[in-house]
Amino acid sequence: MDDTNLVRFMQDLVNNPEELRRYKQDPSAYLASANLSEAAKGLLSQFAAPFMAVEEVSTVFTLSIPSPKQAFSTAQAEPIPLTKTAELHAPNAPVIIEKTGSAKGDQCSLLPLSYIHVSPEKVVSFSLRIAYINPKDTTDYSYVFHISLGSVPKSVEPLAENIPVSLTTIKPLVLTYNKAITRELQVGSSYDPSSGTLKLSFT
Amino acid sequence: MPGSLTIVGTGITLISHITAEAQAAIARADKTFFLVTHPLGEQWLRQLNPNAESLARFYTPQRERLDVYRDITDHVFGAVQAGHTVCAAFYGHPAVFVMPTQDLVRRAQAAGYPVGVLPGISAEDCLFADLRLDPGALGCQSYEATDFLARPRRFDAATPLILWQVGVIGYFQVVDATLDAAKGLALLEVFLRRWYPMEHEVIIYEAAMLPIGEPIITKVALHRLRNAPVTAFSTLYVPPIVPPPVDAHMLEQLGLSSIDSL
Repeated sequence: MDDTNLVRFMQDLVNNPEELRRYKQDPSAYLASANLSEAAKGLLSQFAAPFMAVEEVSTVFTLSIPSPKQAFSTAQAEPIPLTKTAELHAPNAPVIIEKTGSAKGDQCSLLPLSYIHVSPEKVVSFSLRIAYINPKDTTDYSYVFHISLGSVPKSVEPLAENIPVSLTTIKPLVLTYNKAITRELQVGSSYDPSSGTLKLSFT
Repeated sequence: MPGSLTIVGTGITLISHITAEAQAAIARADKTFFLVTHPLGEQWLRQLNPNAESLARFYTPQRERLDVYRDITDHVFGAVQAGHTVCAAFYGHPAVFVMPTQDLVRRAQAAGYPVGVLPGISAEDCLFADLRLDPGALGCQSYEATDFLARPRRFDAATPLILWQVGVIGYFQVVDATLDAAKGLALLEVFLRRWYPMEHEVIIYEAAMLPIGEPIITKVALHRLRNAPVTAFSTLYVPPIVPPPVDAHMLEQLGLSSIDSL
């Protein structure tokens, strides 16, 4: 661990605002060419905000949420395809969502003030606040991330608090600290109101 | 050896906020003690003074903060009594939300040691810059959040309000990852809703601790404050609901037609 080197790296950035601006524009690209050890770069990824670009991976991200009655206004048997872009946000700290360890997925819980809504025209919108415990993290610290699609009408009642949510992802996903990102949803993304399964496929 | 004490602030953002006089005081002291919020701060201060000693070891989870402050004061003052040229460096401004500073100054002055307190960039300074808030425009009210609830004032909802330490309301112990801020925030939300509309947009603010970081600025409707993401470093900014009224009679006495030019 080369903390001294890191301090010097930051001192150089402070003394050169143009370099600091370049760093903030694209931290991962800047770090790639920086004269720092891999360990130091790893440390920076924990310390800094924003610290690393979102990892560019194609993944299928599935959340199973106990289906709320208010989520749809008409009986809906078929999964509803989702298009447009989903927004992901890690408001407090960087979140690394690991590749799921078991077929059943990892257990998360839904935080208060989470919403999901299906309009009569079968347009799905949601705003979910999720507490995630990284199974590889020995501290059991729960990380919070937000995921949203479209704009949920203000009249919608929030989902029940702290209900368990199952999360599966076929590849790890890294969320930058305090920097919302948008991801275009791919074909195959859907919401099944009867089972509460939200399947998000994005690159 | 005569002994002396200089208390300095390192600023909030590591490396970039420190003043020239604070840096010099840290470097020239033969005993430098420091308390900073970030692990890299330790390395940085040891570059400035290889003998610098961290005071972080006094902070253990669940300890009463007053006990921690007392131990810090005793430890630093002990070095002054031993005749050292002592510098105590605290993050932010050393006279703002740093209880050991007041105790150290009192004890050192009472014992006849030379004492200096050098200002640093405080969290409030950062807030003014990051939120573009000019306290000269509409004034500014600033309280520690627990104190604000425990000793309610006649504050003015037409003047900007800043509440510090909203993430640790009611906590007098050293906090750790088990910190539950929601209860205190709920009490604050209920209290503020007597004066502000439910949909009034408030801001949870946290200054950047590293030069490569960014401040955290989260806008939330007042009625959602209890579930807002906060940390032990969070500050709440409540914008005024309306501008303060103008006293036309006083304007006339002042010989002014308006105060827009102020």
